Amino acid sequence: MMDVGGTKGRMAAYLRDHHDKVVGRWSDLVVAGVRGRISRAEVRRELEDLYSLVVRVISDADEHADGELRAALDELSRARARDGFSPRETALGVFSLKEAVYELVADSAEMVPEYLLLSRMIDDLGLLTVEAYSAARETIISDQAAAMMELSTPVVRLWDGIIAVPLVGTLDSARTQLVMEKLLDTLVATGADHAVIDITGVATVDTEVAQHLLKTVGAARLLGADCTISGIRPQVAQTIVSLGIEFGDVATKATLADALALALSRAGLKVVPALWSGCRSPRSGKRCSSPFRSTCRTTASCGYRRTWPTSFPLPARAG
Amino acid sequence: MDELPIRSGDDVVRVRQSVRVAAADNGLSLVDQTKLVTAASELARNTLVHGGGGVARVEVVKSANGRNGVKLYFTDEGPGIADLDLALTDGWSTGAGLGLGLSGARRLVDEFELTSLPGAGTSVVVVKWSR
Amino acid sequence: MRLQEDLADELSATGARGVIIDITAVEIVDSFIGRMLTTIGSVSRLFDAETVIVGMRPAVAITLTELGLSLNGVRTAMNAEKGLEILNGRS
Repeated sequence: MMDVGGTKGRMAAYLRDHHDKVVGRWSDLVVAGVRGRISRAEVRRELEDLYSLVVRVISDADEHADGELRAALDELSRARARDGFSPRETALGVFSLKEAVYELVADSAEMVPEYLLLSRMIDDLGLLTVEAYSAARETIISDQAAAMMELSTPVVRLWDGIIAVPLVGTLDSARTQLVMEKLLDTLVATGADHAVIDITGVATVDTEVAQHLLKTVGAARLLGADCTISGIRPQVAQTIVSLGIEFGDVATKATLADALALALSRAGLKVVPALWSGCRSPRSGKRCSSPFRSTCRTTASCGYRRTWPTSFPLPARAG
Repeated sequence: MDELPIRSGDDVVRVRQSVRVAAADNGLSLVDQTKLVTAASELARNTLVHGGGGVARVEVVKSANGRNGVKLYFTDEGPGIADLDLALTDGWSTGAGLGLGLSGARRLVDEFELTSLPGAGTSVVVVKWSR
Repeated sequence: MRLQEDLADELSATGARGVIIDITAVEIVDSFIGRMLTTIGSVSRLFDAETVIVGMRPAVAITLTELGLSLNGVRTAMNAEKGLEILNGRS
């Protein structure tokens, strides 16, 4: 039966009495471990802070010490992780405090219970650094996943009043929320009345994906925008029919081009061949009367052969 | 924890305002704020109209991985709900209306807990986390 | 509700063919407000007027979609200008 209070007190006192030796030896060990990536002075500073916190915790000095020590170790682990240290390296740095103390007490049998107490405490702290490292990596991964989702959900302007959302990958509920937000914000920002949602890049379209699409269309309609879904591949079409999915009054098209044509026609626009503006006769200064390049009369009245663009020097021609 | 009485339409407005502030202060995005306040409005109105009045509580909570969240409690001593499954399906309602109350509110939040016994009142607890 | 009564009076008095409800400043639309809007749509139709709701905020639109609220009987547009285009398009 250990007299924990007394043991703790003795360990705390020992650590205080041998402060310089222990911290010095601890620094040596940690510096050897970091192999030049952190300066000796920096290491010493960090360890001094940790050491005083460890002593406070062991001596049960105040109730905040434990929380502060954990916070300090958490911060240290994250900093080390950011600087590219492996969790093992950081943990070993913490464990080397045990070694530093052991070297001093190794010969005196009376410090065994005290050392055991310290050892258990430091084991726990070492594990803490590994947990903090994991947590930091988790945060980085989820941040990256969010950034990736953001980047892979562009909303582009196809024409005045017509925007498109080319979807690539999966369309789960999280992505759908993002798509709806970006689509609606862009509708407001551009004042567009038509949106084309292209699903060429969506590998599987099942009932859930269809529901997400219909939800997105519904939200866009509340802002007065018309929606077309494009990129329906043949296999996808078959799956949709076999699953009994109904798109109702939402127009669907095979390609983005078809959807654009539809959106343009709904917007009251039409695509026609460009009118040729005709050449100007260098002699009379008059414009060729033909409205189309194909029917242009390469006659004397025009003065030279039509080519596009007409930037060639004029050949000399007889009247 | 804020405790708000729900005895009138004005109280419902006060609940909305309180929830809006809590949501904004705890890092919820604009869309999430809107969803939570809308859910709160639905639930508060339910408490008022079907529960004969009651109480709302707004609490700030923290998840295991350190995210902030807003937890709302709606309690009344009304008639209670006999068939919970029915109450949570779309289109259900005892009064005139769209009958969306509970099932709709559930879709707007991250966690939803409904406890009700005929004659023993109703309690709805919801949580929305920041991302 | 005051709004509905006033609207009915106005439609009756002016014989207006269209109603534009601007909800740009509305931050929350729950089922109560939703019901009110569809009711206004129904009342207007009795006076042979069409109702267009304009200026819905993205956050509100997303919430309504999630809530499953469909605003039957009313049209929606981005703003009052587009709302007018819809109303004028009626023959």
